[in-house]
Amino acid sequence: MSTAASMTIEELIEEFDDLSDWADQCEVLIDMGRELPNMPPELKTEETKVHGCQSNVWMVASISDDECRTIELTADSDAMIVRGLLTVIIMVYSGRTAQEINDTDIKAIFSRLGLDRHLSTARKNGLGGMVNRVQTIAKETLA
Amino acid sequence: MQRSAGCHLPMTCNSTCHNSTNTSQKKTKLVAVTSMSNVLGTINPVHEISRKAHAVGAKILVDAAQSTPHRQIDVRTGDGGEIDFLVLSGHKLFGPTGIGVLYGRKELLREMNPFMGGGHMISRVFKDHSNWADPPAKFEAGTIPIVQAIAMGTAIDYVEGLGFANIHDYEAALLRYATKKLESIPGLKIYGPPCEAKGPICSFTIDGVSCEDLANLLDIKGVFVRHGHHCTMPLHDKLVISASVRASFAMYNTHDEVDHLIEAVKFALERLT
Repeated sequence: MSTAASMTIEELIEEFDDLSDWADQCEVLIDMGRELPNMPPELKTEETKVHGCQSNVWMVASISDDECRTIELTADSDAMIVRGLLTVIIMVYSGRTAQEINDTDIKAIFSRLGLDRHLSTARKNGLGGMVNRVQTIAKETLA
Repeated sequence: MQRSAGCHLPMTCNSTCHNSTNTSQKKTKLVAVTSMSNVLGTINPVHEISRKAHAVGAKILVDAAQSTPHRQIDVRTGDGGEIDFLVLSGHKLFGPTGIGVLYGRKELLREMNPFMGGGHMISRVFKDHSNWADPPAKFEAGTIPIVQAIAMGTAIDYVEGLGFANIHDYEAALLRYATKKLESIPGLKIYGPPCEAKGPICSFTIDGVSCEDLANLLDIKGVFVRHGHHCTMPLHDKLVISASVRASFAMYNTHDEVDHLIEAVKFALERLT
């Protein structure tokens, strides 16, 4: 398995397809979660907290200075599987422009990963909260 | 934001709640208390709280949703410790969803006005007023959930047929077994009073492990636990934890299933630590 840092979302989907078992897929998410760099504690504030999640989740977005104006995401959680899910979101969204983020069909990606089947309603709501945060940032940038 | 008009009953350090005299003052109208904590399992001394409430002229309402599948509460004690109102939910007593029980002492129900109008709750309608039917019909406006009520009756018959003493003894043994096994896991901490002072639930945390991760991996092994703050954020604040995992046992669980839980926890720890 390639490391999360170098993997693309298509490679992850392929890997999830090979591992038909949710237990094995979950282990990949845990490994990805382990590799996600920790967010500096000073960034973990009430403002950066993503609500609607069962575990603590923080997300910070910054916009690149160059003319591309891409959105870079940093995120963290105290739960390893959630950190894995955050890595998925970063894979999909980070380094993209606001327009690209706006045009991304994230539901289709989650569905290809099988997350729509394996996550409970509460966890899906949490994931929805993380996605909403990114989409809101993108919309604000476009406005 | 919703704010309640009431105040809370203080909780003692050993997780019991019997210092109701602090809040049962002359102005107190109603003392509402759970019979069993949904997190700690603590069995509250509802009759003692009732006597204190009655001493200042207050009524008591006991939320028995948690304790009903595990133990009986006698609402009639005859010594001032009777329970004025008691509520429980159908699905926790192995009955259907969408139905529950609100018990009230007959003389209190007679004095009370209905909160809702509808069919079946009047004895006579006049042009300018109505006379209410006798309780409980007075409080059962409209079409009652007939199917659920019949199924609820069957569930009650079933549990009574098994016998609460049998259920209690079996679950108490299961709880002692589970507690001993769980406590043997390094870093695992169970919250609440000792087994003999609580219902058959174990809420716990494991050092360095997120409750959400733990619950996820237990789920993969076919073990269903509740995790999170269980709607009791003030309690979790007091315990200085953000969440806990709760394993709940009922009469249909077995010692083998406790072993399975322990194996599943070990499986999760291998992956998470």
